[in-house]
Amino acid sequence: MRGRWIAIALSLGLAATLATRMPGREIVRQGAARMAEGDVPGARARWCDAATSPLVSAAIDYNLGVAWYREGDAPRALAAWRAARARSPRDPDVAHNLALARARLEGVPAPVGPAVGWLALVTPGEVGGLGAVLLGVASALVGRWRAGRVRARAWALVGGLGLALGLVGIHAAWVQVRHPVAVVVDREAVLRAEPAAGAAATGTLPAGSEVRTDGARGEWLLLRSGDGARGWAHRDGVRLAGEVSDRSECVIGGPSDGG
Amino acid sequence: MVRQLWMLLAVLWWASPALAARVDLSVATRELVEGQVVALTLDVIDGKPDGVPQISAPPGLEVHYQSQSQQTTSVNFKVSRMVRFQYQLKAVAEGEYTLGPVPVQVAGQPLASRVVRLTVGPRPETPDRPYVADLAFLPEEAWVGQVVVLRYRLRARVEVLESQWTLPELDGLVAPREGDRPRSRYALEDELGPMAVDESFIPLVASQRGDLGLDGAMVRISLADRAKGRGRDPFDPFRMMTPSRTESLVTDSAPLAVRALPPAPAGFTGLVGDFEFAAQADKTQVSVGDSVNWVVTVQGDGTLEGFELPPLEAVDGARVYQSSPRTGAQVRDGRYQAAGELTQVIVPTAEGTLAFPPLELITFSPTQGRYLTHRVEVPPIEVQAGAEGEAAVESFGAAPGQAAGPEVRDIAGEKLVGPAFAVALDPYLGWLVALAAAPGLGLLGLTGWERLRERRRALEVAPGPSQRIARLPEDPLERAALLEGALREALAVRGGGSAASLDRRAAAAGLDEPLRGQVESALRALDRVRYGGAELGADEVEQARQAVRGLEGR
Repeated sequence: MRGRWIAIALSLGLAATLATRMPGREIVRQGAARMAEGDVPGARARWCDAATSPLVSAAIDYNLGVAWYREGDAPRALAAWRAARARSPRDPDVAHNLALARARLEGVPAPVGPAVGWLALVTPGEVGGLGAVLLGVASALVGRWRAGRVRARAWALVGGLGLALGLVGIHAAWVQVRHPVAVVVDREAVLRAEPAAGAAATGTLPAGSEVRTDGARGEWLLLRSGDGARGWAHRDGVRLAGEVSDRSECVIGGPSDGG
Repeated sequence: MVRQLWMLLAVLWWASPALAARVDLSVATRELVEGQVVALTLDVIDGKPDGVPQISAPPGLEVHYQSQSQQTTSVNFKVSRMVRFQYQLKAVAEGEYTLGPVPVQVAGQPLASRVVRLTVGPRPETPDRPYVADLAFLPEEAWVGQVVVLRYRLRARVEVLESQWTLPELDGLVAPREGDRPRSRYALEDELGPMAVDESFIPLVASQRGDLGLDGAMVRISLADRAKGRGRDPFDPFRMMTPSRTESLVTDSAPLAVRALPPAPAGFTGLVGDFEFAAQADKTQVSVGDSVNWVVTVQGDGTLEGFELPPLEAVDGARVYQSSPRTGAQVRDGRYQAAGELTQVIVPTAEGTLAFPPLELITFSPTQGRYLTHRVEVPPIEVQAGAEGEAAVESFGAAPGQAAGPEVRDIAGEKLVGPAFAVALDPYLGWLVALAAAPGLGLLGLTGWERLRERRRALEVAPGPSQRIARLPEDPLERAALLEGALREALAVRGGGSAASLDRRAAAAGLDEPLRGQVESALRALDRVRYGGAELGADEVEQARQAVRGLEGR
């Protein structure tokens, strides 16, 4: 019994140490220091670097959006904040900044919502994480069941619920990856009937349009706007939320649309 | 009379599209080089043209029609229709050209576009290699505070699917807040054939003097490799991606020498660049209490960030308020172009003529290498009697010396702590769920295996009677007991009863001959051995074994 408590305490200590030493936190601090000195591009470059790390968090996307906004690039700020919102949907600061950036843009269609309706409230990670916790509890219950201390229905119930939540979370994350939000940046995007430069134009989306990506073919993305316009646009003028597709954006004064 | 009115209305209705229609001619860039091919667009807005408009190009330019598209947009219930004609414009020879006006017939009515002036420069030195990347500052010599444009360019005679640049750290250079970072793609044609050019521009402000040149940038390019075999790619199950190979290139260095500004005179605005100023008042005859918007427009190739007009010198009979400046910038044809509109609101407080002394704005001109003074005049304003305080000043900031309040809450600032730092689990969900479920599944699997093993053990068949008597002990009595036990067990299994309860007759009752005789004979022989003192010979043993095998059906 005593050994178990020691193991739990050690695990919590390890988790806390990892959390405080998370690389993103240090990079955010470095970027914030540059921001405080008035070096907005420098701050953006630091956060942009962090956004390419596998341990990305909503804070990095959020701060990246703040930097883009302060640099006057509302569409890129929107793309970063949409990514932050996907990772932290209940954050009031993200909602406020999104509203502010949208207010600066004229003539853009209504922004598309999340890929799955309930993602406006919780993230796939939260749902799937809860599922994983329940599965962990179910695993412990299986051990107790083997020892004859609980009935089989206990682990079956908890495990079933955990598995269901885990699968729902994985599915939502998959849908989010398959149909990411994209934002038109730099200039208006021409929608075409086919993924080819010579195809007939079916419409345009002004810079700052928040759209859903329905497919991809080579360098072309199939976009659907909030008001139903649909067509292929070259991905040069479109930034997927949470994507730093071009590392050159991570340098001071980096290009807006890759090189 | 009524009939004529109806006819007039009909004519107006018929002609209305033509009356409202507009024609717009635009070209991707107005500064071309010999051999360059760019897109030329003719938009007919709110009108349906009669056929494809023909654009006649002057000698030295070639225009080829490419495609046509149509789109309808609705903004605030106002439906707007646009027909777009795409052309390809090729610069054949150096020179200055004027393209247009392009005549367009819309519903029988002749319309024309505005003209577009183009400059075609000499053919650049084009590489004979399949692809080449370069990096350059435009210009390569600058002054502190001047905006330079960093151009990075990839020219290729082969199909490049994607390029990713990694630029070095830009020490001493700061990106202005205003100014886009455009990317342009076009084709050049020379004797070696077509060459695709992909160039991007970054405006930067030189913030310190010295050698700020860059050593070189790296670009990774993905080249189409159609000769490559198309194996099954797990990431491209539908085979939508072009086979490719990746190459890395490093550009030559990009020199940039930055000089310090000479000592600045008093009143220097901080603007570095070649600027032009103009001013205009929206009215020059007002009543007391009215407001006059005096608007100064400025445009040039330097950054206008943070620039504000110095307040007009105070004069009796007026108050002056400063409005927030509106500025913007863009990079076009590799040059930074900034423009701003700065407004001061003059509210007369007394009758008479208001005469403000001109504003003197001192800027530094990089092309002339010296400070220039621009004089911006305020026209005399005639003020008539009126009611002070009736002014309808719609938009102005604080009077000079006062801080302007924000119109809306600013964006929420950066985050340094909080739950937003939680690492997003989405990409790892599959692993996480699998990891959490693994111990339980492992234990369940172990339980299942154990149960299966137990069941198998239970199902494992004990050695049958004939197997048990395959090898017999030495002691005759033990032998006889073993043979009898095996025989009775075989009988019990055959008959479905208890071995101990079987007597000889009952045991053999249900058997057919000759098995019945064999069994009875074997049992008798064994009884004789066990209870009568007879010898157990090989015949008796074999007889018993045959009886057992017979009972087992072998």
